[in-house]
Amino acid sequence: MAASEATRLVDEARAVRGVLAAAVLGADGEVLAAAGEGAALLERMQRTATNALAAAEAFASLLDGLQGDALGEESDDPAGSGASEEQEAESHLTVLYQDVQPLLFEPLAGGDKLLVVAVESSADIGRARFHLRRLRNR
Amino acid sequence: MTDLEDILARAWSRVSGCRLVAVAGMDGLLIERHPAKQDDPAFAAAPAPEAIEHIVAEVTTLFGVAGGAMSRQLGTPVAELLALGETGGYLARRLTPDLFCLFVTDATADLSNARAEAEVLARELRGAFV
Repeated sequence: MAASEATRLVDEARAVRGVLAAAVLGADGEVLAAAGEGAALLERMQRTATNALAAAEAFASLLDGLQGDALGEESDDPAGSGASEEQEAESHLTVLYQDVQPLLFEPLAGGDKLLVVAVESSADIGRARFHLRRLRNR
Repeated sequence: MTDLEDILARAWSRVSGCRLVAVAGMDGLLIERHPAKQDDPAFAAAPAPEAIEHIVAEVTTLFGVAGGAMSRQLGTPVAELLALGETGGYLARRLTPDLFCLFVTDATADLSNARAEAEVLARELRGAFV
């Protein structure tokens, strides 16, 4: 993703009513583009995202192990339905931290970038998420 | 950034007796509503923000319930819900598997008009956002 594309995403996310700050982060938490009301909020977004990414990686490893066990047990299933479909499905994760200003995390295409936004209140979560998904799918 | 608010405002203005029109997700989260701004004179007649969040969650539950035996019997998913009381009512219409729109009306509203406008709104929203 070019820097200009990240900046465009941030600007469009900021245009959504109720969004206070937006940032595009790399998989390691590196800030590719950011804009918002207050350095403290942006710093909190980056810190939370970095922690969430580390936790997600740990959970993904754990789930991979569990799925591997489950596949081993069901390997004689002729339909092979449930587990294989889950593995093929594209995964999306939106995490909400509903404290002072809720944070939304939307993975971007390719899965190595994350769009993070802070919204004013919990009443803005649905609107922000709706528009973020539209931005992501463009 | 979007004309979602404008689309809802037009629908609201076409339904006499409409207190509020909203779009929400089937996970129970409100996406947008009209009237939405506290300085709008119509805002006072609409349900309070906390109340509409609860209403949206309840409508989501109702669609879930109606998606069982009721839909199986019809042969198609229940796409519209109508709940009436002496002082008004609710009209909810599915837009997509993930979205629905909701009209909250007072007792003076013409429900046939509200249903027709819900259909128009559904078409507009599907064209604009789906």
